[in-house]
Amino acid sequence: MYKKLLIFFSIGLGIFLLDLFLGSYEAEDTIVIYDDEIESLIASWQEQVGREPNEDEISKIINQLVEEEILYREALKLGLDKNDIIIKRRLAQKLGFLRQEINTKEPSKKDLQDYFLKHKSNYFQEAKYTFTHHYFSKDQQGWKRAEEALIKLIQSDEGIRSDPFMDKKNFSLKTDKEIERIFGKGFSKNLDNINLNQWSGPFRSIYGSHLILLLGKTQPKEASFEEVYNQVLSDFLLKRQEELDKSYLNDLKAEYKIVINPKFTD
Amino acid sequence: MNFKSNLIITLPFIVFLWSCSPGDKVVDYSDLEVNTLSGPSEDFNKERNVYFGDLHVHTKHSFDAFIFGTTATPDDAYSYAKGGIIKHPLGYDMQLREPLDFYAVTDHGFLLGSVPGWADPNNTRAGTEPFRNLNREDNRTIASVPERANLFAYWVTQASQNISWWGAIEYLFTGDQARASTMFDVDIHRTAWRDVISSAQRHNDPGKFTTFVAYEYTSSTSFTDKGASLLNPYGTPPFEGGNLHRNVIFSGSKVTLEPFSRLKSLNPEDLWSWMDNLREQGVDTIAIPHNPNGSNGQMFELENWNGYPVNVDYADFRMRNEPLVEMTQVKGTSDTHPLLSPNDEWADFEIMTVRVGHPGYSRPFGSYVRQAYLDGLGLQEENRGNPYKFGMVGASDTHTGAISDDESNFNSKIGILDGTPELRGSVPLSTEMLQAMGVADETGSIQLDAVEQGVAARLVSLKKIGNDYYNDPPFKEWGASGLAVVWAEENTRESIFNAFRRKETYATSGTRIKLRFFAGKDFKVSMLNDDDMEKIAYSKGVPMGGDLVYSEQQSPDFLVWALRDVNGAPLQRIQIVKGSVAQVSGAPTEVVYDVVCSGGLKVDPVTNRCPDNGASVNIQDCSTYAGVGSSELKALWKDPDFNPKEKSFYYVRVLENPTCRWSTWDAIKNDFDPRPDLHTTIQERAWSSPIWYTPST
Repeated sequence: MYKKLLIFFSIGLGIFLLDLFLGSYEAEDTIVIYDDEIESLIASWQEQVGREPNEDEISKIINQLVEEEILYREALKLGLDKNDIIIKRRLAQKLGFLRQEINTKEPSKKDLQDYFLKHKSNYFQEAKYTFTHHYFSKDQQGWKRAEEALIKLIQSDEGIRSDPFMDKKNFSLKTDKEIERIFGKGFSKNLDNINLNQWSGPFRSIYGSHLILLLGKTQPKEASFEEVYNQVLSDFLLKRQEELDKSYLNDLKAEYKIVINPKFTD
Repeated sequence: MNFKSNLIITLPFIVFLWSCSPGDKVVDYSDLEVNTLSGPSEDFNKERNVYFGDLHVHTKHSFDAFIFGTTATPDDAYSYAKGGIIKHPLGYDMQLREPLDFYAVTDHGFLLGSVPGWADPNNTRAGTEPFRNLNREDNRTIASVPERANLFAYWVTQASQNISWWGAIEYLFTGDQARASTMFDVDIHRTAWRDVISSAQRHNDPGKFTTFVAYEYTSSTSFTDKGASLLNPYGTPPFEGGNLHRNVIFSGSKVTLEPFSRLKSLNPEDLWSWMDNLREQGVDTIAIPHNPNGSNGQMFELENWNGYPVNVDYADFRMRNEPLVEMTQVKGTSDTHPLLSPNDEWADFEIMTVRVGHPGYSRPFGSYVRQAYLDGLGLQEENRGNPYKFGMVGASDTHTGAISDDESNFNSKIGILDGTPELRGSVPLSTEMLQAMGVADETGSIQLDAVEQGVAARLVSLKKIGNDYYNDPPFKEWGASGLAVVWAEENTRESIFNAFRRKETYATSGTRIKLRFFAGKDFKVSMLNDDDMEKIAYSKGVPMGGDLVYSEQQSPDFLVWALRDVNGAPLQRIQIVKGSVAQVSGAPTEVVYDVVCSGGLKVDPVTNRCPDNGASVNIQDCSTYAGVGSSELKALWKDPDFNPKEKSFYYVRVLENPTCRWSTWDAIKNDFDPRPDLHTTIQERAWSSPIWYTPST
């Protein structure tokens, strides 16, 4: 019996000494500052000041850390963290941050596809036009020159003298609205009734007269998922953030009994 | 300013350097981007495309915007810029005529997010009570105007004055005065800033729509010697209140944890040091000063913050951080002032006479860009560097999230406080409004005593014109301006930011005039009709914002080319504004040349003016006389007074035919005559960044 007790205590002593030796034992009145903690503080100091701290500065950094820890523990002993609205909010916000980080996780393709199908009308694709044009300035008898040029163009593609257009000659996959942003109101309808790959015109814009060669037109249609993937992703993330915030809070609320005005409850 | 007060003001900043502020940590937010682009976009163009945008937009996170009733978020602001509909604080819809290509939300950095935090019904922090639930639906009405005006005053006095000792210690260790205030909460602050960042990241869409992470550094000459101490570093009012505001634009996704605000330092040079420091860490930013017109001469001084004459080092320091100036916005235009440019018939354009957020007169000297350009050349002539070699952009400075730059549909910029024609002062006040303001009794007759008291207490500003009483706020002088325009290869952050750095930018008063400007050697008239015009111009010359390297005796060739806005008025003329300084003395001269006239009219070579093109406006209905003005103007021009020995700058000003000013539109839409003491019409315009000519030695 005596021997067993001795073995028991010596094993206990061994563990205690080992623990002490390895330094994992933290008494309530012991403050242990780990190397990696110091290193990270030094690294961030360095990042902000642009050089390594000298010995003096390192000891200041450590000292500050120690003092902060002491004050923190004293405050906890006094129960200063209880019923403090600032601390409450801070913790709530930390949780909020944490959840935002979690939410940056990539959604699955299926999630996005489901979202897309549900909101298909948001992704309707307007008609888009691809075309090139010759411009004849209003100030220099544009209409007349355009008419003459059209005759030449139908015969061959050479020898046309048109004017430079600041917004360029070639346009690819532009919608009605984008075209009117460049040429002025009412210009897009010209593109609806002309034949592909054939010079047409002249058409009047706010700037002068234009001959147009329509190279392609996509019909208005429902978009395919792949075409609008980026937009779906961005919409999905916005929506999910909103919903998660709401449902998370609702879930939590369900776990609590909420008493707003105790006077009116039994 | 004397040395002692400097020391008091800069001491906290020195402490700040010692202690390394935690808010300066750089975080990479690329993971919050949704749209990415590999390789050049569809519209990539080596000769560059034109992109229109606004780099000055406030949302609910700005302390003042929230007090003005704004609840629009950065997400709302970006949706609006892309063509969406959002609500004005007074409940009506706002939508752009045409979407924009780029947009940056720039909420006030100091106390960013704080006021909406104080309004949160769950916030029980002492001192925040008056803000509680301020922007609930039923309180966003004209009836809340007095409450909001009072809250603004309360905010100014309380937010900075309630200091806790613990906060004061935090202040000493961070250099951030906000932390001393009992009402400040760093978590709310960072959460709001993170919302600004993540929204910009989400909405950036390379090739289609560009956003920038940005904020406003809202400094002013708000300090005195009187009563200054470590805990009251700015001293005791009255302050001068000269406007030194800047917008800080981050080039990419790497952003600091907190913005550097006026509560860290009022000295813009400290902001530049902070930016220099970021640049060394690979984070490029630029600061864009705005409203020099409201700076009371403090924006373009000839001395640095400490009162020493500026020198080459100052010039380099300023130019690497501030390559652009926001020259026009709602709060007036800062091209030039009639007192500074008495020979410029178009100088009296949307002039705001007072300072920003201060009723005092803003002295023109040192407040306008044309004079700054001249001073810059003068300093250079004295071998002191040129701190004023900046390009120009325009912006709105809207506080509703939504730029309002259409004269015929203007809602100004400070939400509920100027959201109706009556409040803006463009139509007479109704009896009900006069009663609500407490200056008319139940029968509707005006109580002169009440008027006098109200005016004296600065709660009421009234002006009697004929038998009518008008509201008489500073915003009657505000304008429906403006836009930032860039020439960039494609619509991406990188390409547009490079254009800012190159200064290949121009400003407009809200119109979408398209404008090219080059200067160089051997430009031929045949170029004007050449499809490769831009290619030739880039190869033989420099674009707007550039430096002309040139060693000839004859004038360089200048190429100007402008297209009208499809929704605007026809063009009336293109002008070139030239400034130059005499050798050695640096004495300045400025001349405005008409370069091309509409309708083929010829410039008079003696007066340098186009003949009248006959454009007119009917102010009964704002219709214009059709058939005059041009859709497109272009020309090659040589400087008739070129002196190869004199340093000079040249910038273009394009004028539209006259149209109704917003105040006239407001009046006729409400069946009143236009207010007689305001301009009834304006000439919308565009201003290019200058091209600088320096004689080769």
